[in-house]
Amino acid sequence: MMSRHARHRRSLRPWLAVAALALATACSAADDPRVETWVEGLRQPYSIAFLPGGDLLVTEKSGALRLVRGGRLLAEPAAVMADIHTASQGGLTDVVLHPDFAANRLVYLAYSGGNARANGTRVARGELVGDRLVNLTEIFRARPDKDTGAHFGGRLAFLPDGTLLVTVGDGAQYREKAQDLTSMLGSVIRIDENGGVPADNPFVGRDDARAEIWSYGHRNPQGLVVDAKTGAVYATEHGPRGGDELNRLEPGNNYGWPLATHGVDYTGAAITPYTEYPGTVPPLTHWTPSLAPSGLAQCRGCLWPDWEGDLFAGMLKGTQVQRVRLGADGTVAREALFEDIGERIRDVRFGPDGALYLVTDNVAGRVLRITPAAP
Amino acid sequence: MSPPPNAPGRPRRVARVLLAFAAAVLATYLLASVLQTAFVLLGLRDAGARFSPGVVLTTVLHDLHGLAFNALFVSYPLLIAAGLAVAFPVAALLRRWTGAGRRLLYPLAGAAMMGAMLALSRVVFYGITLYAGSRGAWGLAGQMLAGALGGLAFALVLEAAIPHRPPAEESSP
Repeated sequence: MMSRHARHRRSLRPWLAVAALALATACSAADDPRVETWVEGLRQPYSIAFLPGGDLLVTEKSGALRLVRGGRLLAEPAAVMADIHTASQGGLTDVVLHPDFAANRLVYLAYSGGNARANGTRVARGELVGDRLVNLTEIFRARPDKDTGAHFGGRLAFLPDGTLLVTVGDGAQYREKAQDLTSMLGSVIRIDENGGVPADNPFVGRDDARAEIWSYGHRNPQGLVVDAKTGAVYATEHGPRGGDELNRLEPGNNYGWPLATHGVDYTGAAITPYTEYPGTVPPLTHWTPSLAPSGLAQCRGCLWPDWEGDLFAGMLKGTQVQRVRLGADGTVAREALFEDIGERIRDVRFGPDGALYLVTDNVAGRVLRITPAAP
Repeated sequence: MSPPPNAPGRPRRVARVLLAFAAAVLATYLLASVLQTAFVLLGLRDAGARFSPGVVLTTVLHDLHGLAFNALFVSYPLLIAAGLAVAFPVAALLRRWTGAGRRLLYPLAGAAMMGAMLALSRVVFYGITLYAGSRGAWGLAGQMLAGALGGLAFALVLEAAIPHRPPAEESSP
């Protein structure tokens, strides 16, 4: 026979379950980061750069550099690239500020220039005066030109010594050129702030290599970040079908494409029989099947203390951000974030305010600002 | 006009044409796949890679399977079949009009189809050759050779199945 207390406990069970569910839902809602549209009205945005004072530069694939001033997207672009080649994957791919921007107002742009028969990754520099980028001058051109509309790379990052890294894709049709040091295709380039070759580049003085090359054996690197704390350089690159890679870049290293990859060709054929090859550096991690990594950012003093030092890779095909934690013992942990946004992520940046900013890859693209849930 | 007394019936003729077509697709695909693998490996060798015979054989087998059953867009043998299904009827018409032999026209049709298909794919994919082993003049020539072999296989199987008569007198391809 059931006691009175037992009957009470039993009658309370449904209410306790409802209360527990409500508490769990409330906790979950509190843990969810706040996602807000920061900028809209953009056409295929590709990258962003934060200006002192809270303004924002945004590149659009078409070649327009847009300025967001006081939270409002200005109607007139700050600049429009004249010789841009926008067919297929080409466009205005990146914007970064000179490390001493506050004093010199210099802005660097990566883009694909030329035409269908002869095109390639280029870098131009201009001076931001008011709401216009003036004195825009090409300072670097990847050699040789190519005749395909794919795999431009086109990301920029300044190293702590003030030199500039430029990622250059293999052009898709010319993948073996990534192993050819006389070609800049499929490499990461290091130039000085004026486009010259730093004397301490790894292949300076070699007759069989381009002095601009800093690392090689890359396919289509579209994510690049320099650790603000350690100076370490990380890059993500698209694999073919599988084999998207995160690499830690060091000067002179060969990252293996196309001698080694975890991917296969879109046709189902082998790119290579090897997933690793002697003399090449394997990736820290790879995404197989592919998620298509684009922009890359690192949390250093961001709004999420738990994320300190972690890398964040925007995924196009995967419509998410991959958080990557590199363990001191060489382990790699990955976590998918923001899948519910449901959009292709073209770029990922942490702002000066510590918030996470995502650039969505749409004809009607947006910049999203993500902050932790309110405590 | 009634058919000759010893001519095969229509269903049997159709079956023999289908058999010849299957042989053509198979021959084209086998050679095209092997040559695609060979040119990719040659490119890697020029880039510094080295391969043992076992690795080469494994890659050939990988591609024979992968090109047929693991393609993202379309299976290569199906693409070849679709191309030959257009090329061979054109060749049959040309044969009627010109009187040229099967062993000349079908290999030409197979080669032309492979060349046109691969060239067209480069236009569609912004200058990128879909099948990496067909990049460059020799790579493309290799795939066209595979098409020619398929055409020859088609002609030979037809000849074995259907007695040869002047083109104007027969209704077979």
